[in-house]
Amino acid sequence: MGSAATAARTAASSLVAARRQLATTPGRLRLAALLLTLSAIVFGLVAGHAAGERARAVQRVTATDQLLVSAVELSVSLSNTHAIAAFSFLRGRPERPASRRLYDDALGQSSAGVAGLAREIGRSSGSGPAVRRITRTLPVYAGLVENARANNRQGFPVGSAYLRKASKTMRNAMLPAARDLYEIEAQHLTTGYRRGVSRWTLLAVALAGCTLLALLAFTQIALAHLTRRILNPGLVLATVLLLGLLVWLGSAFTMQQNALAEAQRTGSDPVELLTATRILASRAQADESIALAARGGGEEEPRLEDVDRGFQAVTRPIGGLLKRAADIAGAPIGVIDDAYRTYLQTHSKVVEQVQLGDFTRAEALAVHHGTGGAPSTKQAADALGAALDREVGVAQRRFEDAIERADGALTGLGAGIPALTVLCALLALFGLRRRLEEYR
Amino acid sequence: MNAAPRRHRSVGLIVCAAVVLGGCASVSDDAQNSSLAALATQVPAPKDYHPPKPEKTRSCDRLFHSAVPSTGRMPAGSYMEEIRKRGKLIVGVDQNTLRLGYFDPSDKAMEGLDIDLLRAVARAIFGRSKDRIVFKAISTAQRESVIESGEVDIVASAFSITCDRLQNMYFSSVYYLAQQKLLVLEDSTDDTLSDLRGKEVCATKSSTSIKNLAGTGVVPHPVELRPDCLVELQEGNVAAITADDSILFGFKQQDRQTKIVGRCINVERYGMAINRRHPEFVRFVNGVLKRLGPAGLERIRRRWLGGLTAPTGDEISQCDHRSALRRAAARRRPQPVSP
Repeated sequence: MGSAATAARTAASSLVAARRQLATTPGRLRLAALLLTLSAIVFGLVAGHAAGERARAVQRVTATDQLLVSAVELSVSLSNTHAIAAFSFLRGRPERPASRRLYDDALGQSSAGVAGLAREIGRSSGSGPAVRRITRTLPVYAGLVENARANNRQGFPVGSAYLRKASKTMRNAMLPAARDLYEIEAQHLTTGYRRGVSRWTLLAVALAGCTLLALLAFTQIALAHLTRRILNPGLVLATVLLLGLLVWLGSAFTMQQNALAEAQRTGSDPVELLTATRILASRAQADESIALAARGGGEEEPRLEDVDRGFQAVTRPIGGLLKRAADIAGAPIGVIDDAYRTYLQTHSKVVEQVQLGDFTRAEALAVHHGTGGAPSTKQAADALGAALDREVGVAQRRFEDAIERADGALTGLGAGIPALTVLCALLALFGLRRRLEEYR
Repeated sequence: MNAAPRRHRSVGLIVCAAVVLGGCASVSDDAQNSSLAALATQVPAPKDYHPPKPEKTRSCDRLFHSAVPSTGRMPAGSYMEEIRKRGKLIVGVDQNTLRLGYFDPSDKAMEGLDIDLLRAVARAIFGRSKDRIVFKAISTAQRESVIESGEVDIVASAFSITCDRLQNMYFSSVYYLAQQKLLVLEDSTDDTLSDLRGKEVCATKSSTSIKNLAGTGVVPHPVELRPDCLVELQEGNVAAITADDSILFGFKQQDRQTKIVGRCINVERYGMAINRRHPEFVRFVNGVLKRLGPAGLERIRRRWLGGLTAPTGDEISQCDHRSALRRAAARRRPQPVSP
């Protein structure tokens, strides 16, 4: 009880002492020095944190983009694998060694892709289950295709049943898992972009910077009144330094932000749109081959006119995707548009023959060559795929350029912010000390 | 070339810096959302086929055997005349059933017992069958709908004549007698449906075989196309396949490690199905069958299903009797088994 009273008395007396101090000029100067130091520390921390956060966001965007690209490549190679398997089935017996090799390559690419993703993703990001699902079903799928092939070699119709089952596995298990993967990574990418352009960090930096600036200005005005000396070199230098740092931060953050937004708009957005197109085009091609190979039959496999129904459903969104990509990226989409139109035309020729009941002719149009020097659907699909791949590559390079600029804009901030803030605080303290010394 | 945009960019940069470090460039996930939505595209399922409800239930026991009288020739205004003018007979077949209806990829031709009969019909109309038939491959479940929609002229696809089906379409006279049996792995000890109680048994959707599983206690495992059942058996997902012996015979040829077992579960009488609008075409087809005669039909049977012993008349009537008893029992205590 006694000690509490003593503590209260001590506190009261120190409050009184502080108040007495503040009444004197040196006391006020000391308070200003204290506030300036604190404010500089806060500013330094906030700015450093903001710069760090943004640099990390840029890194995260880069890393996630790589995962997204891997996920997309996996989707493409999976649907490609199936398109090739279905096509070589349609082409009939005996299977050409070249098409066998194509299938093996595509399958190898798929399994390398899923293994690579499993390694890159690790445990952290929530895509584990999707990767596991693909890892588990890929060998099952390959087994079904081999069974289809072995039975087909002997002329057994159960071969086509195995191919249908493989098709179902691909469509109901593997492609959805690959799409989940794509979705998860795409969402991570968006989160990265969001963090990279977050306004809150900017606002905090601006607030801390303005506080420090205001303190400096106020101290100088007060000092000018007190000492009738207008300029205090230390404080003036500190102010100039702070202003410089603020301009640097402002321009660096703006440049980084613009570059990041550009990376999304001209880089990863078109990549996503075009690869979605690529995946759908592969799916449509596989659907057509399987429908023709099955010559109809079955509710789940497209039949006769249904050769077209699956194709139409799968290709319907492509127009919109291409238009969006064109809005963003401009001219080169024209090539893709042309390839896509050619593809649709060749397919409609196939459908025409199917409707006439001439499967042999329809197959020839799908496999070998179109009418009057036109390509077969297979050739048209390959051309479309190649055009899309090329444009995806271009967009990916644009993304990398922009990311490099975003990263470059932040260079030096990590060392610059603490160094300049400390220097600024030291200069201010130095200026104040000169005045304080006059009172000794 | 880049001067203008660059200047714009630097102006923008200054403005940005001026507006208290405010974020002026923003990001959006529109493009991503449309990509993801596009990738979620599903192929719409075709509409389910529901046979129209018959107006009144007729007893059709005698219809099995009473063939419609035959005439043979093609009168003007008849449906055969229409087909002849068109130049093609449009038929619905299964292309995956070895020995009955099968597309041989090396010959690039359809073959089988059902196909031979359709060729006989085409020959009767056109004088030859080559290039005169448009084969439309259909699943078991689609057989009834393609007849009713008029998409095909005639269906021959191991199509059993039943009371229910006769309400909605015509059938030719019987051209083949099959028995519903079981296919199991060669080391299996299951011989009858009662051995398989509680186990999964594969059958094709909408087949008479799957309907006959009602009330037997086995778990039906429905599939789309006939050979899908063989896949299920080979992958170990089912203990047995039930189908007509004519179909099982084709399966056994594709997998030597299986055997056909079981007493006859039901007798299936195959006929060619025709739309109810064309009774004259049914008579015509019956005429064709009559002209082939028992000897002609037997020749075709031997050609495709020679390895299968044909049931004797006694066996047939015994099996009919047993399945009638079973059906009556099932009616008395209905068990919920959905095919």
